[in-house]
Amino acid sequence: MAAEGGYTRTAGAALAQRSIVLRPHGRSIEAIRTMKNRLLASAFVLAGAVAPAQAADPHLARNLAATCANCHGTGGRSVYEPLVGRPREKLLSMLADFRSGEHEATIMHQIVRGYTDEQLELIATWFSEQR
Amino acid sequence: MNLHRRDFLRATAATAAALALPRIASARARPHIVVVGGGFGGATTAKYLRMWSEGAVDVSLIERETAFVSCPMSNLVIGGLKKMADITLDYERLRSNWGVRVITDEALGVEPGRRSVRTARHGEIAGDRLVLAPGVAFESARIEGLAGNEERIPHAWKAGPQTAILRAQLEAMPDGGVFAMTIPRAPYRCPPGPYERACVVAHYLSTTKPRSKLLVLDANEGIIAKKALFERAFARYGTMIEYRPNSTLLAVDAATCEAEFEFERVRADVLNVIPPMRAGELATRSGLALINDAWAEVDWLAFGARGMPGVHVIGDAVFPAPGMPKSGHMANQHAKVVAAAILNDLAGLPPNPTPVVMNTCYSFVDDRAAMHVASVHQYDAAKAQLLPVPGAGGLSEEASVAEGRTALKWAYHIWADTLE
Repeated sequence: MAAEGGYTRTAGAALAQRSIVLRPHGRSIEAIRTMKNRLLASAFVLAGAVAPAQAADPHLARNLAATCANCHGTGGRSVYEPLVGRPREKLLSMLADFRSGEHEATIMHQIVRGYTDEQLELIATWFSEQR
Repeated sequence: MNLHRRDFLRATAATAAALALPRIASARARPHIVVVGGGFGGATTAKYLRMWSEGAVDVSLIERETAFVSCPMSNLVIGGLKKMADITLDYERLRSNWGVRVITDEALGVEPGRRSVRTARHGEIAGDRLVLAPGVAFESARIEGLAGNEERIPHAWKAGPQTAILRAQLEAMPDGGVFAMTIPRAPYRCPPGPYERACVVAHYLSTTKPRSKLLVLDANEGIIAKKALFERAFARYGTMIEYRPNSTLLAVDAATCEAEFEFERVRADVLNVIPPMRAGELATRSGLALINDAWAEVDWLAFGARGMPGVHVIGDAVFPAPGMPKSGHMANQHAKVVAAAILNDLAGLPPNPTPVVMNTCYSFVDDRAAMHVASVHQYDAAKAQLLPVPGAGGLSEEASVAEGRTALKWAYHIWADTLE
């Protein structure tokens, strides 16, 4: 059963699957983790990866993060489920675990699958930079 | 109050003072955005325009009511699980935290050429951009005998006095009575809402008036949201809930509390008619381009009203993109897209070419347990629409007490994101 808020970490059984769980773009969780480590600091460059055919919006990360506010508070400043100021790597690994099912959730596992990897990186970076 | 907000207030204290007096647009050195409608869409737009511009644009919000009464969670009031005070908020923090000029007035119509809104008591209010969030209008006239009798036969589909009326009628109903509710054909505001209402009313009846009957008369061919989950929830109330699809309401008799359908006539102790809906009256009065003569036509990058440059429409009043529900959550998400698009436009930039919106909707099935449906909608440039992402979103496996707690937290968060 998922706990309140949906952040219960399930037992390690799913850990063994980590390397074979594929994300929508065909990359394994391990590949994503590697990619995280070489994440570029420039939001502009990251944004360009989302829509290479178009000029990226200068506020793309802010706009994407705002879609989370209904449940996580404006700017991620929820009392219950805060995202503001949390380390980017931590947020990304939580999102990856929601997507893989390693983090059992009531709803986040369904929501996270609606965003591309690049969008999740922008969101995590944005929240990590807020104070 | 958090640090960010304190910083913001310091930076904009002078702005807030300046906003106290109305000025006409042409005299303004700074952009002025006029938002009409203080629901989830309009209020969020006003706040995010101020927040994201760091006070650089002035925002007026025209709303006829002084209180914000939340439709989400209002079924819990009808079921006796919450009080009106629990779902009633105000606009004070939009003023004090964000410097939004909140104008309590009725918007009569839009003058698109002048980018202004005609009001009942404040004359014409002009802006550099207009954002209309008029919600829905109830087409009572399409049901014979209903118009003018909404206090005897409440819809309770806009939270407020109607919610209290329906609650009072339910409380006054004798044990062994019949509560009949009718559901219009989709699209209407909050697709799962009527079925949630049936569940919480049945919960109330089963605990206080167990010999009563609950008739759910649905104009649709079946339950249109969370179908399997609601079928299971209904079954938990045994024979108390009787669900009848394909039941289009034709007429009501307020004197006898009867409802007439194509093939049957129903007599009830409490008759809750949710009428067919269309975009709020302001949409019609403003001459917005409507699809099916009912819902405003917009582009999905900036929610611009078709044929009216500088005028935007958001929320329930909009003709929905495929798979997009009319919900408070969705209206709040529309608001952020339109706020970003307007600020880009004022800066000489095109709207964000890749907007994303998402929706979460919780429904209670009794006094504690709830279940959700969620979706994420990404912009499809080829189809020029916001479309649900295949494989994302979904439903609860079953209603649970854990999700009941999450549902209440969702309300707390979205109310704050919209109004504080």
